[in-house]
Amino acid sequence: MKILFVMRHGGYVRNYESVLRQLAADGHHVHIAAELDRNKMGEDALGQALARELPGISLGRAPVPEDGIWARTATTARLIVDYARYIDPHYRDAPALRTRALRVVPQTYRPFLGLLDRLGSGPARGVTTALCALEDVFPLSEAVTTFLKEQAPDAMLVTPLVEPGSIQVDYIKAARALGIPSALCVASWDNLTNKGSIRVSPDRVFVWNAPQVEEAVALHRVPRERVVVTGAQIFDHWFSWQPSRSRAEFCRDMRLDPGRPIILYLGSSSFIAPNEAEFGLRWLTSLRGSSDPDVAGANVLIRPHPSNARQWGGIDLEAWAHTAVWPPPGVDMFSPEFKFDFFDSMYYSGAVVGVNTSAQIEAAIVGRVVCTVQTPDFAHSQAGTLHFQHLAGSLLEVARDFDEHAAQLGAILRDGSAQAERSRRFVESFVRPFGIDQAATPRLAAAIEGLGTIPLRRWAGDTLPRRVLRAVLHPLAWLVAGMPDRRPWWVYAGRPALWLIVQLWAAPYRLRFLAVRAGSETARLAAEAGKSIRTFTRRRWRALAPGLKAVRKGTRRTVVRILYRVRHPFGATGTT
Amino acid sequence: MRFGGRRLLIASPNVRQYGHLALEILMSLGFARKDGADVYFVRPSAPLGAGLFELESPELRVLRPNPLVRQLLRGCMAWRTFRDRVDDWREEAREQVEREFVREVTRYVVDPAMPQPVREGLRGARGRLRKALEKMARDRRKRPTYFQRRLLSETVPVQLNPAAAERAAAEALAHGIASDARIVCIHAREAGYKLGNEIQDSKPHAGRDDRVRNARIESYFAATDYLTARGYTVVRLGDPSMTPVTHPGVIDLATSSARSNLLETYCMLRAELLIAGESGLAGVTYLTNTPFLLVNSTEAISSYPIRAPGLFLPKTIVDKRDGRRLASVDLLGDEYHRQFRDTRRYLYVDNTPEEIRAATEEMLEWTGGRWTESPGQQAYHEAAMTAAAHLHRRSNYVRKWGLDKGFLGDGRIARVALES
Repeated sequence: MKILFVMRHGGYVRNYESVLRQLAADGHHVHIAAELDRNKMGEDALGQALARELPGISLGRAPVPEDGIWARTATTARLIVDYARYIDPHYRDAPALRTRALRVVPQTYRPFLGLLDRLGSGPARGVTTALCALEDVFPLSEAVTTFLKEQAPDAMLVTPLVEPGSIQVDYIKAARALGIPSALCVASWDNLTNKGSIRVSPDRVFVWNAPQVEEAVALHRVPRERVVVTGAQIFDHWFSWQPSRSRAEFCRDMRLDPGRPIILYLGSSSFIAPNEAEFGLRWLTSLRGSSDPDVAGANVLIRPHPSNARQWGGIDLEAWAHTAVWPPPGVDMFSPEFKFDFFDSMYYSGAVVGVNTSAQIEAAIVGRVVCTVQTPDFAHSQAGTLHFQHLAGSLLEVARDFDEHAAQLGAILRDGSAQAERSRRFVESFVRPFGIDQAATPRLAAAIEGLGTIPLRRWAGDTLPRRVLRAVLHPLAWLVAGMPDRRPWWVYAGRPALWLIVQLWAAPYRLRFLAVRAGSETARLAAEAGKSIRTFTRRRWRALAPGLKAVRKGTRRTVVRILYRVRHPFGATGTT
Repeated sequence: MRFGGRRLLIASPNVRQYGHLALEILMSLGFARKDGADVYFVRPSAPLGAGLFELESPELRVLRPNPLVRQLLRGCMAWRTFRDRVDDWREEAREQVEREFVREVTRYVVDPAMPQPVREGLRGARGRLRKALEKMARDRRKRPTYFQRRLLSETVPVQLNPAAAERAAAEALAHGIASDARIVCIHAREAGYKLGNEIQDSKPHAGRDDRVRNARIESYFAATDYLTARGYTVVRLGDPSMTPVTHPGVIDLATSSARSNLLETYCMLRAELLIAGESGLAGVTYLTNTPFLLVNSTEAISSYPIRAPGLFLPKTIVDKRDGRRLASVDLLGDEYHRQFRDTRRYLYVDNTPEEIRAATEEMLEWTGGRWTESPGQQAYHEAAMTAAAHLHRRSNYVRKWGLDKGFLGDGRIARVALES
């Protein structure tokens, strides 16, 4: 089976490494096509390594749809849809997500979205439905269709699809037109709640767990029968790993005191915790000032999020005893050592703290109790995101202030067995919904293999009504595509008038130019005609010339003879 | 205007923002004193800083006329304000139309299908408009800055009118502030006062986040302990949305149920020092002639203290792109001013209690006449002057709050900021 896997960038290979290996081992060929040619923090390395190691894996670029009126209009429509979803009551307390979605919408449309915001969720849903329906009217991308024809896969996967204005929609549409089954692999636990919309439903949506099924159905309007639960394959390896070194060795490497418990702080991404180091200092101050000696004296290991690590570089932690920030910014997060290091830090910790990050789920898999502090600093990324509720409700020990947090940590460091059971239950429901010993990788691989046998929806093709509607909408699309950013509305309103004035101004010059051109054309024609006549005459003359010469010669001879006879009427005298 | 044979300055200060209100009252007093005029302040029914309107100066007359005259003066002010707004609107609209016209016309100018005479005609029109726009920009740059540092550098002696002073003294006593107490006021900006009305709320795409000006009052406690040990009464100012303070020696006026702006003004007038961040109270210090230690500063030029004694202490700022901690001199550069207070680029960490305490000690040295300027402080002052002149053309923010006719301020950066 040939599978085409379209990813936004090579970094997504990390999320599907185990599945790619499984598919290759099962004899399938997977071609990974990345939209973006980027290598942030060395994220491309894993895909390249897989392609070198496994003959069934190949890498390449995914072509972007060609630029044009309809492509620009489609992108604008998709960005509006991505924003409009945040007007839904589900997102009432998510202003940061709304702002983030608005930031990518062209400025020209923001007043319209502001109006939509005020009108509420009903009209927003209407606009979303209309714009999603227009996806059928937007023409298929030639570049994408040609690419799919060349690749001729038996199934196509996309991830993450929900990036703002994603071009992966074009891939799904093209696959549908060509009769190729398509599926969305949901890349992470937050993808269905804090990014864009699934504007065109693929044939299957592979999700981790039951809550994500509800999100796909309720928030993205994917038909329930197309959503398939597979578990979280990205975490499969954590279940079988063992630490790479002893606790004493680990503490020595981290410069921690092996005689004390370890509190592990797991950093979050820059969107979730933009000023995390500043918060971290306060958190550390509160721990060290705690009245609980177990908490005040514990080792503290801070593991910044790889994409948000640099800010910790400017923070001086020298003054704090048995405290470490590890690893230093700039390390290769895709290297095996990084993962081993990460596993060891979770394994040897007595309690884990974080704001809102998938590493909290990983810590739960390793059996640790995970805590958080709900502070105004992170209101936008805790209460203000839907995916945090998955953790807050069933995994996290949530504290409302540092005092409560310190008390929770103290209790966990002394005996956290009750809370650890809670972590286990969470993992069972969220990461491995088919049982804690049921890995997700084979399930996802089987679901992908199953794509080849699913009954495909027939796509009616580019029907006459669609083409008529496209023709009707063409002027609107032209207007949408031509609207550059950051111009006031009245500029667009006044543009036709200015165009008319300029054309009226130019009209006399154009007419004169035409007249001159017409005059010069006449002269040219006359000259050409004269030339033709001359040429013709000359040619005819040349053709007649020998005859005429003979005639002339004959005539002259005759005239000479006549004159001779006239002068000598009685014949010649003298000698002859 | 002239009124009854006397020159009269009618001022309608900004009553929506406390700091601007104080600055505008002071600038009005300064102008009036210079011109030998009386001042009348147009007061809204529920002004933000009621206490500030109770101030008067022995050097000029602040009018409190009868209702009829008051209405007349208000009418004059309203008419003038209306005219100014219409003029401003016309100017802005004209500028915007011309700028957009230039952009639109450029499409035709560069169109090779357009007849050459039309393109040349449009190019000429565009050139004329561009010149007009440049002239407008030049004129705008020549306008006096909003923050008139030179004017503000001259103190105008003020005091509460006798009735208000008596009321305020009684309120102070009720809060445990004795009439002979040596007062130091403290203030830490928090999120509650302007919640939902800050630049990050009104312009979320701009990237600037004024929450970085906020700080935690707890970091002041080392300094307050130092002050109380020396016999000072520390009064915490602010608004009821702030974190309540229950620290020994600190009177929390901010969250007190009997808090009033009159009492706050009274404390500021009596205070020997104010320790605060970048907030409205910074403007009030110039009106009440209170020595000012500005801590947790995020922008060095606008924060630069106008009067001596005056110190400022920048926050610890980390560039998130490379994890580098900015040196004090980096805060004066183009690079920083392109994105200052942008939390996507910079991390702002509050001053530590030790830093604030050290700066407080230095400030007390200065107010006690024992301070000497270090070479580092002198060098930083010169660097700040040069940077303010350089950035005047490049940054609207610096143009508004920076150099005024070659003057930045007589204050200095705190010594501790240059050491760290």
